[in-house]
Amino acid sequence: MAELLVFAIFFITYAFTRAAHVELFNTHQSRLDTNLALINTLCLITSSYFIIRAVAAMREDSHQQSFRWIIAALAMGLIFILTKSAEYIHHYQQGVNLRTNLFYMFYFSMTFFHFMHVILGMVILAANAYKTRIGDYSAEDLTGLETGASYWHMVDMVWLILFPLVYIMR
Amino acid sequence: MGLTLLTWLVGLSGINGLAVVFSVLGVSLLKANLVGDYFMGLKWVSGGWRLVILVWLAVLGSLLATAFYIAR
Repeated sequence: MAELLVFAIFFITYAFTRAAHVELFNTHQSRLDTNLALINTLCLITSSYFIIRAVAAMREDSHQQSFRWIIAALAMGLIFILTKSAEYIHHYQQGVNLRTNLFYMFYFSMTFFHFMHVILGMVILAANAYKTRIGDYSAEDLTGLETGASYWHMVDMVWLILFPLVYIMR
Repeated sequence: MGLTLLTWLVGLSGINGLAVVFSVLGVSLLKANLVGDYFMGLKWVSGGWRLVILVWLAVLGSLLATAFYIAR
């Protein structure tokens, strides 16, 4: 809940600040790479689906299957991290940073805050994978796995708003 | 996936305007709600968890729409 509130404040502040600087925001927003953002969106949606399969497999006490689905979800998360990092490196090479202008201040703040959540989500999923591997979960006791899955879905949900807000809507 | 590709195509085409913004925002809120309902499984959970997400999306969506309306 706390994370959702913080992201909501970020998004609302971005939108109202944009209202006072429409031209600046539209100009710099159009320079962002929507193709990479699309790849990232598809990665997170697919990853969320893989985690659903992992939980479903655990409900049937299929540890091996559940472990494989978590690893697949982690792989999609890793693609997100690599793609987003490539985007940040590209900005850095162009000399664009937090201080460039208001738009980039919001862009870097919001996307990096989300980026950190993806990393934390992957750490949680890795712990889930380890506990699945050693047989810590079962069909009767999978609260830890379900909690990790819910966090991962929250990260996905936030990106589904962040993607159009920062890359598309103008 | 289809709705995401549609959003991406809108961005690629460069078309803009209030109607497009509201449509893209509506689709995004719908997708986020679907994640809550079906991925998190809140549709089948008792208590107010589903309502929490719905209220979050409604308040967020309303304020974002207001900000973009002001900026038109």
